[in-house]
Amino acid sequence: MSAILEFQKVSKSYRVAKRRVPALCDIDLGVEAGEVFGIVGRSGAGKSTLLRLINRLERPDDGRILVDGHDVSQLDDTALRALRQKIGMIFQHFNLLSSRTVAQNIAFPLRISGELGDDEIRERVAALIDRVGLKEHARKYPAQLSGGQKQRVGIARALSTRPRLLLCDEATSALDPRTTQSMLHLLNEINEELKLTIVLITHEMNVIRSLCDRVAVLDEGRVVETGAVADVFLHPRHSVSRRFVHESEDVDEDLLNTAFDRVDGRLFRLTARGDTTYEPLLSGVARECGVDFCIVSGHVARIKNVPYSQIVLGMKGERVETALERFSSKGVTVEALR
Amino acid sequence: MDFIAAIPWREVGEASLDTLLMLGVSMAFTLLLGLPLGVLLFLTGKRCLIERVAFYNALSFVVNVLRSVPFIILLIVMMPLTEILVGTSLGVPGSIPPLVVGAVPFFARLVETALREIDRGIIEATQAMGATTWQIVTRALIPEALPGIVAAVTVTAIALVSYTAMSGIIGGGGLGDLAVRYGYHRNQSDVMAITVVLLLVLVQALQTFGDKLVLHFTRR
Ligand SMILES: Nc1ncnc2c1ncn2[C@@H]1O[C@H](COP(=O)(O)OP(=O)(O)OP(=O)(O)O)[C@@H](O)[C@H]1O
Ligand SMILES: [Mg+2]
Repeated sequence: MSAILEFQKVSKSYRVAKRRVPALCDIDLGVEAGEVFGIVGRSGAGKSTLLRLINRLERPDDGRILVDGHDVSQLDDTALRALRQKIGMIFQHFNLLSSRTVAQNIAFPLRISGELGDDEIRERVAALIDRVGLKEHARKYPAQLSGGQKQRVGIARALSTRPRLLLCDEATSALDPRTTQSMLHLLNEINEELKLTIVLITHEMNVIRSLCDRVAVLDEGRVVETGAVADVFLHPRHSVSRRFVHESEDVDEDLLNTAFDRVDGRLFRLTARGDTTYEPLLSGVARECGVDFCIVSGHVARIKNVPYSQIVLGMKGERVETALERFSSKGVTVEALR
Repeated sequence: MDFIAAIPWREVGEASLDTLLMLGVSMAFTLLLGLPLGVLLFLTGKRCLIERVAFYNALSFVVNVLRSVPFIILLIVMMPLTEILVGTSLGVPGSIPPLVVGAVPFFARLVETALREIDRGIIEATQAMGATTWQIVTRALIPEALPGIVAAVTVTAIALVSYTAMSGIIGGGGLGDLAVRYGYHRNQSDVMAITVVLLLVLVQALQTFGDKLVLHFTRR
């Protein structure tokens, strides 16, 4: 694998009322070709700024941004336009041209680049319309579509020039949960079918969980944690990441701590991933080692397509250590909380 | 019957045609000059595609000056220039330059406003596709603002109708000229009334047609 996108010590500030307001500080990131890379952060964390630096809708104050090894800020106008034509972008508010039909919107980037003839454009647009499931809507105008349908047009439009990199700015934030799911599903399929690299930004950890391979957590213009989604999700190291995970799982940290206080004995967090998730380990180990346990909190879900379970146990008994070893040997990650 | 017979119908007809001619020619020039000017105002404005604050302010000032001059004064001030441009300051040809100079700044401002109504996101999306500024203007901005621009054309055309009537006062020809000559100098108020009715019909027709076009181009 090679990095298709790299941020090297990138900083960016905005000038507001004659003062410089920092938006991003010292960003170092690498995105591998073919992966779905998520950037999560609160409102104002600098996510959009980060994304817009990639196709130079914004310029950095400092540092370098490399796309396919080329420094984006070194490009002249022609090279920049060529680069932009090969980077797809979708937006929270879709940004479709209201004066053009679905088909015309999807054809628009191709008309701009001028690399294809009319027939080829028509063919490619028809295939894309089919791909995103809008066959009946090709001649409609954006105003006649639902939000989910508009975003499908946005996706098809972004894919029309066959880009290698797709940037998504809060692509699902204006959609209801169900539509969000179908959109994430579509993006996932596209990532796999086309081996397309996707960089997406969101404030919802659930979007990261269902779609991304790796994630960077952005807080006040800095990357506070980055890693494989499963690692960041199951073992967040930074308090901001932890809060995002808890929010997505509807966990109230204070309540959880009160619950922990009420448990007698030691506390452990057990994490199982993949097939281990569905093995009847708890009762077996408890029986063998003669320990008693209570479940204080627990969560079973999926990260991308990998199931996992994470539970906090209060455990009592003579052979707690043996039980823990047994869990570890079965591939369960054990962390002692108390 | 006497009333109808006393009206110089031939002259009314010719004056109507003159008015239409003045309106058509001046509107064509206004479009030709005002649309680029409006686009330029928009593009060079603050936080826009080719932001040039000093240039924008200068251009904006010139536009404001021209817009603040009452048309009747513009007519008089422009006489020498008009003579250089078209060889006369009288009749239909003589009234075209002041009409255009009066309408262009007005129309350009309306175009600028119509362009500002466009969602910034659309411009950004088009930029992100790698479009040139020319492509952004011709393929995204103008099509998106078309209803607003058509409405601006309607408003400008109607303003031009009243300007043509005014230019009649200094011998510019058309219905205004007729009204002054018959209604004012010869005290034939029936001719005056007819010109007013004809102007009203023209304005109504323009507005109705303009509204229909706006509706036709609106996809929002
Ligand atoms: N054009 C601008 N001019 C001035 N300040 C800006 C501009 N764009 C963004 N900022 C500031 O930069 C910071 C980061 O903004 P950014 O839009 O990148 O945040 P975000 O993480 O995308 O937030 P959101 O989730 O609300 O979209 C914010 O403090 C914002 O106020
Ligand atoms: Mg944002």
